[in-house]
Amino acid sequence: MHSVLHGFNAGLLLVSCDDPSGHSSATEQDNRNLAYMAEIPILEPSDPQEAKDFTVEAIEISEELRVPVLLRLVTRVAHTRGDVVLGELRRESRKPEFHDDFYTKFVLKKGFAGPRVIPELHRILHEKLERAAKLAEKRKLNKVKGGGGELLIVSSGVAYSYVKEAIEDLGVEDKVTVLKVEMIHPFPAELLRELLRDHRRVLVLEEGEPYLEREVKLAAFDGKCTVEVHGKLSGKIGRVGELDPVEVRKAIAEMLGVEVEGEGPSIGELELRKLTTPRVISFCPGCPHRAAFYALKKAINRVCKGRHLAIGDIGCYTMGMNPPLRVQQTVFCMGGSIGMACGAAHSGLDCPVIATAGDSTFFHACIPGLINAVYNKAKLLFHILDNEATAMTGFQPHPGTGKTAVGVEARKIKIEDVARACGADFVEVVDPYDLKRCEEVFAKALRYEGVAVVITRRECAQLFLRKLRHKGLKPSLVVVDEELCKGCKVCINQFGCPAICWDQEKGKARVDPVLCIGCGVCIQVCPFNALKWGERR
Amino acid sequence: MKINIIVAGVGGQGNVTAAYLLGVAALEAGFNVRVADVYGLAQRGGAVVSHVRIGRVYSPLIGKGEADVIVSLEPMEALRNAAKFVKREGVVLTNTYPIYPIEASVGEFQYPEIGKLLKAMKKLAKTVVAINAQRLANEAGLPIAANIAMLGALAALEVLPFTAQHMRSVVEKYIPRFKEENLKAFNLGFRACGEVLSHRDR
Repeated sequence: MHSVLHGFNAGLLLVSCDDPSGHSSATEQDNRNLAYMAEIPILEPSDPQEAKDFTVEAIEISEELRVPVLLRLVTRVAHTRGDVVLGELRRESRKPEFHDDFYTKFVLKKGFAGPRVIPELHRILHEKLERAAKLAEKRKLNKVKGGGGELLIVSSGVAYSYVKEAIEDLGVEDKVTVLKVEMIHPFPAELLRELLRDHRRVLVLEEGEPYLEREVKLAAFDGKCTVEVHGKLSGKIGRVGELDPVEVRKAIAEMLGVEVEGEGPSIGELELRKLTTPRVISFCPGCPHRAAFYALKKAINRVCKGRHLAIGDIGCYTMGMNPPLRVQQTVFCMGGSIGMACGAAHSGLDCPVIATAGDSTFFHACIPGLINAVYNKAKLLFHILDNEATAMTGFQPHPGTGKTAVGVEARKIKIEDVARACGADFVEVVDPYDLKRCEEVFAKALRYEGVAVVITRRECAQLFLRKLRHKGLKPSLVVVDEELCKGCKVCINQFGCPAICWDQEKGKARVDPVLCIGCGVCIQVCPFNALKWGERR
Repeated sequence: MKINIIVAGVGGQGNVTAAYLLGVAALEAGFNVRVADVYGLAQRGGAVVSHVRIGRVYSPLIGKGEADVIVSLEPMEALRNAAKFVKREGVVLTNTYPIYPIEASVGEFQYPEIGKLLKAMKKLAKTVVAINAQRLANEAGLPIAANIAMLGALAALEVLPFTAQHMRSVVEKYIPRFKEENLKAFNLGFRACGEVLSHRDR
């Protein structure tokens, strides 16, 4: 919000990916609304080629207007690979130089600040937005395709790719006009109003909230155009979840009164449900988090008869919500757990409060929350699951990994040092593979009158495997001694390693050698000593 | 021309790699291509689906009932995706080696016999081909190469707009390590699929 008003002397590109349906997010939020609030231009590409092209456009527009520009992506653009024609790479080096309109233009030159400046900067921003709309015209950023018929489709982003394909599939190129909006904000209202002269019906197809649909209605109202507008608000298109190419085709066909082929063969829900089950995502075989949570759960059962509230951040450890461990109860944002747990601890809740976070989450956003919890005397257990990796999102370096953001060696910052510096007196580091010691430390921490920080540290199993494979080595293997296995299923029902399966015929556990990475934690879990080290053939 | 291929599997089986190689092969053969990966949060164990579209395509997603081919690295995932995506005239190619979901091990769900899964797939698609790609990968000396064996099998189906030799050369070019084992897995998959097809034609 500040950079928008204060200006700068370079380009500032913001890239944000919305995730309709929440494939790997906790919300379906539409960040076009945030850019609208900030009053900055938005560009939205529809495919990999445009993702590349619009990045260049957005930076150039930002450089010219000295305002941040949002490149709005959605999952199906960000997670799509395709053929891209590369352009020429602009190479230039500029001497860095400090510039801030607020300071440089007003405080320094005119000697005033505050209310005498801010409305003026705000007025300049509105001028910039008007220029952005003109730049969109100059750069031909909003396109009108096809022609004829009374139906106008207004679309953008990945939804446009569905529209383009549907029009070809239906063979209705001459029956519709498409306005492909590429600069979402400022909206090309004038261009739309021109099109509304010849089109009486509008279908808006977009991913996320009915953002364009509202813009269309607003523009039509201002232009005194009487038109039917269909989309998410009219109920023509589903209001939640991501769009589907078939849904888009059906909507277009319906508006045009064109027949579409029926759906393909099906085998009925019932049979399908009998034969398939959704896969609950879980920790990898050998994951140190599974071991840590298993020990934590045992300690919770022992110290507080299983009653607890565990507030979690977002990361691999979030899967501790799933069966069979079911330790963590919430998943919000990075850094959310320690703050919420502090509040819960002070709320008078009559069970122990636990906050969980990962190592990269800790560095990213937990430190102010930890200081607050310690200083304000909360009684809680802060469990930091340190796998020395930012595993879920793809192993980006963080201050605990010993690599800088650009991959240069650096001195590791230790979480325990930071925690102590935040004022925590109870700080323990344990190896999660050592279940017994872990359980002891957790039990002590749950009884502690204050903030108890427990760090379970062990390298991510995926990194471990990668390094092993690079050395050309194979992991160890655990096997089941069928004579000793009593079929109690503790290893499956309570520990839940995906490498341990249930042999229906024998009524015994079985280790899948393809999945087992030989962490050996299950050996400690089995009450009958039936899991033991084996040999890989 | 457009071909829609669903590549399905369980996280960790090399699903995304297989789809990537398929996309690169199409691109290097001169086609337009879209590869969209749909994976959950977990690094391992979740259901993974990649949509591979070749030819005159714009949408990254394959619509319901519009896949020409389902290639699945796991039999239950094959049925799940066939039920959603396959055309009646389409092909389902599946690995028979199951990865048991936690629910199956815990006992909340009984993992079906492979025969039952295949029977259900046959109700959905004209052609169903099943091979044990895990066994072939083990035979090739690289248990994680079941995905490459499945690519070999896919190349034998003669549904791709390029030759098996082209697909093989892409595997060779873009897989940096264990080349020999990967190519062996590819060849074994190719042969196994060919055998199933010729057996069926007889």
